[in-house]
Amino acid sequence: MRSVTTLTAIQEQFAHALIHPAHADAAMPMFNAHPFGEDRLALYRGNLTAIWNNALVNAYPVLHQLVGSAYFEQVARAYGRAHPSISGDLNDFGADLPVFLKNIPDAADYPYFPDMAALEWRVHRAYYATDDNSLSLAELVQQATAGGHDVQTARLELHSAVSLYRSDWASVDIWLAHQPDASIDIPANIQRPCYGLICRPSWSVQLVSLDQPAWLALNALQQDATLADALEVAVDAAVNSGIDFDINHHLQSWFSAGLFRQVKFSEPDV
Amino acid sequence: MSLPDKARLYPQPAPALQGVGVGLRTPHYRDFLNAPVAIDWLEVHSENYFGDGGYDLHVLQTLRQDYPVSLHGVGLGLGSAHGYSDLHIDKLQRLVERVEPALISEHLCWGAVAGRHLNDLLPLPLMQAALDMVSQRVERLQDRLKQRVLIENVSTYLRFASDDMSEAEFLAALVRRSGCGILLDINNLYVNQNNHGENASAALQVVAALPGGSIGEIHLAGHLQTDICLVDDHGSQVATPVWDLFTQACHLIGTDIPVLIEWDTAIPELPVLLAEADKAREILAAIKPARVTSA
Repeated sequence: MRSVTTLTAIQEQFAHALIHPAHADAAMPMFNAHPFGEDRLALYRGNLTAIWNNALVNAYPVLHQLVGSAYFEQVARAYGRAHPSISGDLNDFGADLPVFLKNIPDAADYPYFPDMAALEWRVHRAYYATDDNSLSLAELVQQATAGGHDVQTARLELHSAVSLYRSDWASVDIWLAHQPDASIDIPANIQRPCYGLICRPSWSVQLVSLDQPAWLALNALQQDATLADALEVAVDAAVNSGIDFDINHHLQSWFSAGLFRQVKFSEPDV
Repeated sequence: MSLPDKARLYPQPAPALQGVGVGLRTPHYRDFLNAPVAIDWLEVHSENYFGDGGYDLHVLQTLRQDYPVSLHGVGLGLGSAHGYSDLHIDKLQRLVERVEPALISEHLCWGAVAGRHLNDLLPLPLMQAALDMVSQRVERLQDRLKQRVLIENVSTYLRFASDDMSEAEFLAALVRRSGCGILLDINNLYVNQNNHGENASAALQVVAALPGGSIGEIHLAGHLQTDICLVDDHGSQVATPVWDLFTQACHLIGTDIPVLIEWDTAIPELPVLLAEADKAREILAAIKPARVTSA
């Protein structure tokens, strides 16, 4: 046990010297002496910050574009120190960046950054989500018919790669405007609410800008509302906003995007 | 437990995997999906396919139908004294069940302390206590995966004053204790020879003295020359002295061991990797008749 403790101590001291450069001198005696020993330890430190930066650039590509490489590297370094990686899978690293950005004083001029980060983390995780089967509209109708159910009582469960997003900032349009094949410009007014849908038809993660009624309907379905109740929420919101809500069009687009993985039916309350 | 006992417990699937492979990287997905590629097998970093779905896993499972696959872990950190994640092994096991790899490998390194993962292949103090710990862990890992695991020698910038043995001696003892195999990275031997004055040829002699079949795979990659040491960056063609060391290794341990060309940074077009694979094949072909004749 004594020597294992020593092994633990060596690794603790090594890690400490990587995170806290000022403690590197204290770590040097545990290594074989070499003229470039300190520089070589610094190589491991450089690797560590590069690993943090690369993992976060991978998860937050639009944020990286927005702030530029130099500032992003500073954020990555500070984040990696404050929020240790806890997984050997680097795709798990960075989940707390939205919260971290809220507390960076010099990011206060860009209050939409945390929301952008939250959006990008959802997109990132959608990429690795489970490959559920997607329920088609025909299958929904067939299952309803076979079970003698009213389609309106359907409770639709969202696909694992699907999530809903809303923000008080125009994050969705900003994100879309920063894609390689962007078809929209960066919005002039970013201080307006937005509603988004993240989905993964044909293996490709997509972010879709929704209007409020459609978002409310999908949100209601996510909360286990029946299809009838969810559509009623959307229609009410559309009437209040003075906009159209074409039920057939939305149902077609939701099912063709593979938003649902299964359906349960419940009869109306008596 | 002795080596023969372990060898019976854990199948040695190396004969199922022969020839020269390349590391499958995202920029080359399309090349592999579009048309057959003249390569014998593929290796992937296990962690990149830990998700329960998505495009990467879809591509891997598609290509698995045409190419044998080797899973190469970079994040487990078998040598982390603090411990390693059972969740990580759960994910690896799920991937093994999905892909049915011909080979599974990990590194002789550590990567985490309490409360923090460093996500790097950090140099293991080559102490007796580390050998005891890693041997037990490799046995447990093989018990979980029900397959022999290969452990790779790593490149390092630093060595510890507390080391009790060389890395080759450590690996040889690990093979005898746990029944694991060795993934012999020739470039790492060369890098460490330059960085620490270690004798790469002597290391080859140590592992060549192990029972036949102990070396389950060979890695070849490029490195970067800096002012303070060689850096194993996998970002260029295999250097001439590394090819020479590879030739030496083939004479010592044979030509029937699967060989991988690794390239992880500044990834070039696929034909550049395939040309490296052809070069490895030429060396193997030149040695093979000589070994047959001498036998």
